[in-house]
Amino acid sequence: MKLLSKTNRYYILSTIPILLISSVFIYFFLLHEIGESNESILLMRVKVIEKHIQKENNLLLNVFDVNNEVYVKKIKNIQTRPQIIKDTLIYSEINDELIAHKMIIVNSEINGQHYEIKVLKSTIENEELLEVVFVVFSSFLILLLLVNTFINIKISQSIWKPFTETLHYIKNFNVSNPNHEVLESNDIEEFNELNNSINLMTSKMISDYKNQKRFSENASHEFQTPLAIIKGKIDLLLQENTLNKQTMETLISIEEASNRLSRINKSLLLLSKIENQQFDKREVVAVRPLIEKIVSVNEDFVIDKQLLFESNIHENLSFLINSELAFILLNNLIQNAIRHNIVGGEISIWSTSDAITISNTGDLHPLHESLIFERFEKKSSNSNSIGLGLAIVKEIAEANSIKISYFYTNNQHHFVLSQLRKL
Amino acid sequence: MKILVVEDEIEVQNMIQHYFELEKNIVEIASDFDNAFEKIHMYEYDCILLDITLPKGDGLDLIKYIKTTSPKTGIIIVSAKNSFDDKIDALNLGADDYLPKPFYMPELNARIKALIRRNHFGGIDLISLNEITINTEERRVTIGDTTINLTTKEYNLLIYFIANKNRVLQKNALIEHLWGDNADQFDNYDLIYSHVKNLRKKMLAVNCTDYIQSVYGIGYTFKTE
Repeated sequence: MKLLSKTNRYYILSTIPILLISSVFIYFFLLHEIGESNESILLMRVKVIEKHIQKENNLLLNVFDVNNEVYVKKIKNIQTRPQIIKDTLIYSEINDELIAHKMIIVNSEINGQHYEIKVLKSTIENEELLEVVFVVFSSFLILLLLVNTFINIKISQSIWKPFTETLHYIKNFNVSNPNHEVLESNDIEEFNELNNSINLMTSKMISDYKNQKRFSENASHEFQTPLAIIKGKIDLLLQENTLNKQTMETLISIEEASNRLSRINKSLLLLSKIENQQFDKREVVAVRPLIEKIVSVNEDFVIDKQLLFESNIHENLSFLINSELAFILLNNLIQNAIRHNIVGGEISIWSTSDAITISNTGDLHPLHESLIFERFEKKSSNSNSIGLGLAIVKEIAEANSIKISYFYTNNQHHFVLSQLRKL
Repeated sequence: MKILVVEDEIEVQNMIQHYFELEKNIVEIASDFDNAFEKIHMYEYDCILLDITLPKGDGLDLIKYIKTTSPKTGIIIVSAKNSFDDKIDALNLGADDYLPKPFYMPELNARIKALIRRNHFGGIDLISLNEITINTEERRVTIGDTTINLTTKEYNLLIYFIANKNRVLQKNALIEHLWGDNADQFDNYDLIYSHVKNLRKKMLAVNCTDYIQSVYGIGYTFKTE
C-alpha cells in the first residue's frame, strides 16, 4: 500500500468515530436546549395568564382558548399538585393529524379562587429546526472531512516529492555509469539528510567500483608477469643439454602448474569483469553463424573423440549480448559437451526461434543442478579442468538476462539457453 | 636482426634478451616510456616488442610514434592486460600482433619471424631450410622437388618447428600455438601427437631427413644440426 493511502486511511478511520460521536452529542444537546427554552416559554405564558385572570380579562383568555392552547378550569379545593410538564399528542383539526405538544399544568390560587391552568405549545417547528440544524451541521462536518483529506493528499504529495525523486534516483543508479549525477538538496531536513547519506554511499560505491576495476587490471598485470618469467625460465632450462630425465619431468610439472595458475587467473579476471559490467556493448548476435564458428574451432577435439555431432539451429535465433561474451558462453558449453563426453558419444545442438539446447552423452549420472554452476565445483576428476567454465557461463547468462537450465534425460545431459527479455 | 624490447620488468627483459641473442640477434632494452621514445627516435629496428603498460607514459602513444617515424618496423604488443578492447585499440593504431602474457618464448619467436618475413620480403616470401622450401604466400611446402599436401594444423606446426629449430619444444607450447585460447579446455596430448606423427610421416614419405624427434615426456625438437 502506498504511504499516502495508508495515512489517508488512518486519518479517515480516526475521523469518522469523532464525527459520529459529535453528531450524536450535538443532537441531544440541541434537543435538551430546545426543550428547556419551550419550558420557559410555557412558564411565562402561565404567568401571563395568571395576570389576566387576576385582572379578569376574559377576552384575551378566550383568544387563547380558541387556539386550543390554554385551558383554564376552576377547581374547588386546593389540590397542592406540583406543576406538571409533559409531552403529549393532540389531535389537530386543521392538519387532521396528531401533533406533538408540550403541556404544562399548574394549579394556582388567584383572588381566592383555585384554577387549574393548562397551557399547550406545539413543538413541531422546534423539531423541524432541530432537524435542519442537525443536517446542516453534519454536512459541514463531512465537507470538512473531505476538504481536509484532499488538502492532506496535496500536502503529502508535495512533501514526499523529494522522497519519490530520491527513490527514482536509487532505482536508476548504475555504478558503472560514468555520467553520475548527485542528488540535489531540498528544504526538508530529513530528506536532505537522506540524500546526503545516499550521495555519500553512492560516491563510495563508485570509488570502490573504480578501485575494483583497477584492481582487476593490476592483478592481471602483477600475476601474469611473474608467470611469464616462470614460463620463460623453464623454457631456458629445457634447452640445457645437461639435464637428466627426472629434472626435465620436474620442470614440466612446474610448467603445468604455472599454466594452470595462469588459466585460473584469466578466468577469475573474466568473471570479475563480467560482474563489473565491463562488457556493456550489447548487440543482437545471431546464434547460427556463431555456433558454426565455434564448431569449426573445436573440430579437432570432436574428431579426436569420434563424436557424432548434429546441429539444427533456427536461423532467427539471436541473443542480445556482447559478442565476445556470446562466443565465450557458447564455446564453454560446447567444449564442456566435448570434454565430458565419452569416446564415440554424441553431441546435438538444436533450437527453436528463442531457445537453444546443447545435449551430450557422458557420465551416466545426472549432475546437481544447484552445484554445477558454482565456482570451483569440479564436475570430473579431469585434472585439467579448473572448475570455472560453467561459473563463467552462468555469470554471462545472468548479466544478459539469459536463462540457463540443466536437465538429464535419456542418458544425456542437456543445457538450455533462452533470453528472458530483449532489453 | 635488431630488436627493441620495451618492458619495465627486468626479469622479462633478461629472458627475452638472452633468448634472442642466442639466435644471433641484436637486442636492445628500454625500461620506460622516455627511454623507449629516445631509442626509437635514434635507431631503426626490425621489430619492437612493446609492453603497453609502461612507467611514464602510455604504450599506445608509442605505437603512433613508431608508425610515423619508421613504418617498416614491426610492432608486437606484449600485454599482461589481455583485454579485447586493448587488443583492438593496439591493432587499430598499427601494431602488427598482440601477444598476451604469459606466453611461451618459442611462440614469441615464431611470431617475430613471421612478422619480419611479412615486412621484408613483400610478395616472394620463402622459408627454406636444407631440402625444405615453404612458400608462405601460397602456403605450399616442397621437399626437394616434390610438393606435399599438409593440413592447416600440420602446416602451422612445420612453420613453428622451423622457426624454433634445434630447441626443445614443450607439448603445451605446441598446443597453445595450434589452438590458442581453446587449448585451455583440453588435456589431450594425443591430439598433438597425432598431428606431429602425420606431419612426420608425410615428410618421410618424400625422403625428407627425419628432423622431428620426440623428447620423452616433454615434447619435440626439430633437429637440423
